[in-house]
Amino acid sequence: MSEQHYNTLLSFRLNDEFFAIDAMKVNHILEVPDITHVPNTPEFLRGVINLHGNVIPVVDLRLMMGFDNADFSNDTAIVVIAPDEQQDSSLGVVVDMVKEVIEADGMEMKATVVDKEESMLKNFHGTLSVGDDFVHVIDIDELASESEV
Amino acid sequence: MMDKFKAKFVEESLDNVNDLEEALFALENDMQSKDLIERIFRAMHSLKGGGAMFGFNHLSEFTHHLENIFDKVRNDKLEVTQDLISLTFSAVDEIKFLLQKGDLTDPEDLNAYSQFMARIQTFSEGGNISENTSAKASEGNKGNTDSDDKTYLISFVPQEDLLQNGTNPLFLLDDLHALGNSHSIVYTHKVPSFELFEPESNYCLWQILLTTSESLNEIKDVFIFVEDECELSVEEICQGGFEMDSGIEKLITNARNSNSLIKSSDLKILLDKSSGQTAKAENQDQLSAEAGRKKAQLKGHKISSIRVASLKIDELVNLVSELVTVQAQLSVYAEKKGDTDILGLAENVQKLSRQLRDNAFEISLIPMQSELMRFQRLVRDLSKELGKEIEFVIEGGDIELDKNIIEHLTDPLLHILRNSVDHGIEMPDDRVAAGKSPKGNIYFKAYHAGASVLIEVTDDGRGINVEDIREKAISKGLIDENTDLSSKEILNLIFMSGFSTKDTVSDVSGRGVGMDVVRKKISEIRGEVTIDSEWGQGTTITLRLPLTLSIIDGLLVKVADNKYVVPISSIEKIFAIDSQQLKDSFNKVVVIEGEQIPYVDMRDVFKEEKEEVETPQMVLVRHEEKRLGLMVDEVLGEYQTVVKPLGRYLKSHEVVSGASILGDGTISMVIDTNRVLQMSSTGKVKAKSKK
Repeated sequence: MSEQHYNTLLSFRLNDEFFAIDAMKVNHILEVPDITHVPNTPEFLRGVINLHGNVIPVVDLRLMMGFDNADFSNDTAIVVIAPDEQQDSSLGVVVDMVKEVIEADGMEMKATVVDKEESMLKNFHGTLSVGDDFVHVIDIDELASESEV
Repeated sequence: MMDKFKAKFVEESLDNVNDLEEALFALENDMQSKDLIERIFRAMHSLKGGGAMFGFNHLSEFTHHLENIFDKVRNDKLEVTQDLISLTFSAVDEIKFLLQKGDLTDPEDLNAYSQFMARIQTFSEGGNISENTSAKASEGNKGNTDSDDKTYLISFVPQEDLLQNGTNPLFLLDDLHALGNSHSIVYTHKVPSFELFEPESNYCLWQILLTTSESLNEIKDVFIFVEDECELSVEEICQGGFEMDSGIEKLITNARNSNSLIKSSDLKILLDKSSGQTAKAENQDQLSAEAGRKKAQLKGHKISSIRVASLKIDELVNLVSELVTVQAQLSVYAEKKGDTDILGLAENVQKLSRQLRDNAFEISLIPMQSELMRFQRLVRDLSKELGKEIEFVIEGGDIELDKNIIEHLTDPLLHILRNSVDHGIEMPDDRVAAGKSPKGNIYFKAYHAGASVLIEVTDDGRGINVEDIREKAISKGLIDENTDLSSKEILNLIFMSGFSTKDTVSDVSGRGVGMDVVRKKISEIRGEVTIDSEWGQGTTITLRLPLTLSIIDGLLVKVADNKYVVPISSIEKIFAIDSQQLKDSFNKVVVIEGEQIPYVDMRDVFKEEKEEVETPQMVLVRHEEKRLGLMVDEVLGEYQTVVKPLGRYLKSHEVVSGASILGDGTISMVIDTNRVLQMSSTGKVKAKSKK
């Protein structure tokens, strides 16, 4: 658990679990467009997309988290994040479904107990309980640094 | 707000410094040139004035003293010597430092600064002695025999906000004193009572009596920075000098008591002994006409170039490249529709956007000139330090390159020049012993060759001993003792990392970085380095650079399901290959026109499934001496394309160096052929094993 404090989070579903990222770092949410495969890259890197004339790499968060099922459905979406201000930091992230925006002010953040061996992301900021679901908050910097190939 | 102006000032001052440096170089060759001294003086003057205005007080003070020296030179009171030029060169460095740092706070810097100031002051006082004697001499024959001298009455009535832009009026008075014999009268009657007194306002006004041989314009030039903030009148009173006699004293006291300025007519009566007043009036007319003309000249000055933040240009180029992409999409759409109206429009848009692209692209080009000054300095300083005599000749400094390329070019070129001065050119004695002239030569030559720019750095020094390189490479384990290499190949060894021929690390070159870094830097901007050297005769290093980074001519090819762009600049030829021929070759070599050419299958490079292609096509690429065939499924055509960066996540990708957006909005990867060549020569390409 970290000291970091979020006001607004964007939650989404991967397989049957819910995750969230800092909504202030999200620039776009897209339906899955044509993805151009980039040869000689790890499997989780789906390729690149053309977003308003910029070439943006897309990673599949489901594969990064070690989930097997990575088919595209109608709900599948790409969340384009920009971890920092730099233009070249834009990154598309494939998720199964975008759920909602959570106002996290005043919510209690518990330590995350997700401990998946295969997952490339280990360092969660914590877990919120929203309704009946647990939402794990992803460390966006870790996501960015793990996406570098 | 102020910071913005400061940044601008620094930028402009750097131009002035450049100009100053350039003039100094020229002065070194032609020490008598009045024009050059004038140019130097002017550059210093602007630096001083601007410095004070933008709060660079140290800079202003420093250049003020420096300017004094050149003022003496200008007035033939001091001679241009090698010492003076060297001093000024180091002063230029100090000016650059001051521009960069602003006012100094670090005690160490301050110490160095004041020492330097002292040096300059002694130098200028050295000139003072002769000035005093000449001043005395002219005093001796005073009595209006010196016909060039005229006496002027200068009334300088600054506005109250004069001090707010950093002008120190006392500097102006100093400048006037430097022009000749002068007496200044200060009027303080406008100073308000203490309660109303604003410390940041100026309440004083001055009148100055000045005898000088300088022209009226010279006097006015002193006030050039404050023209708008004051009322200024310069009136000629009489020929020859003046004496502070009781009459003048009385006039001053009267004027002070009555809170009004001295009238020039009163002075004229006092001082005008011989010539009549009519002539004076005529003269006055002429002078005011002259002033009017000057003003018109200032007003009529047209701005022929503007300064734009480089970020804005980057943005422009970016937008234009996006426009080009959209235009390509439009063309595809129009063709599909077959509507002649739309087709016509699309064609027009294409024409315009192509022109726009070329234009935007041209804007981002800058001449190399700006960087060349640094190279000249390097060669000059270094050769002096090492005791070598070197003539550095530059050709093609007006060649223009993309500013991003120039930025990447400076370090490698500095390194190459350092090498030439340090390792290449011999000591004068050695040169004479080798039957050469004691003075070494370094030629720097830039020129266009097709879509590339070539830069050659040639020295007539000792050259490179191929045997030394070979031995060194063996001892460093870079090559095997039995390897048979041509001398060209051996020369190329110096580009390998971990290679530096000079055994000891000198201050000059060999700071742990070598030619391998040069090659790396140059290939980052899609350039090539080659070296050519003859033992005893000299060395030539050639850089081949692309004109621009963002737009390339590419060949669109298909490998498996993806389209890729191969830069045309690296392509030599395209062949259709009989697939039977490939099956028969056992060591991945095809024979074309009697030559054996190694090839790689791009499907292997991209780890795609193997598939039978009936007539695969081979794109023959070349990098420096190496050639390689790239086997692709299909060549789709030529394509002018805008290269987009892949972002930080894919930066270290081995084969793909960028991406480009095609007319239909899809993306194709740009293949870095140099890296494919490297991979194939190190045996990294392996066929994908069948699943």
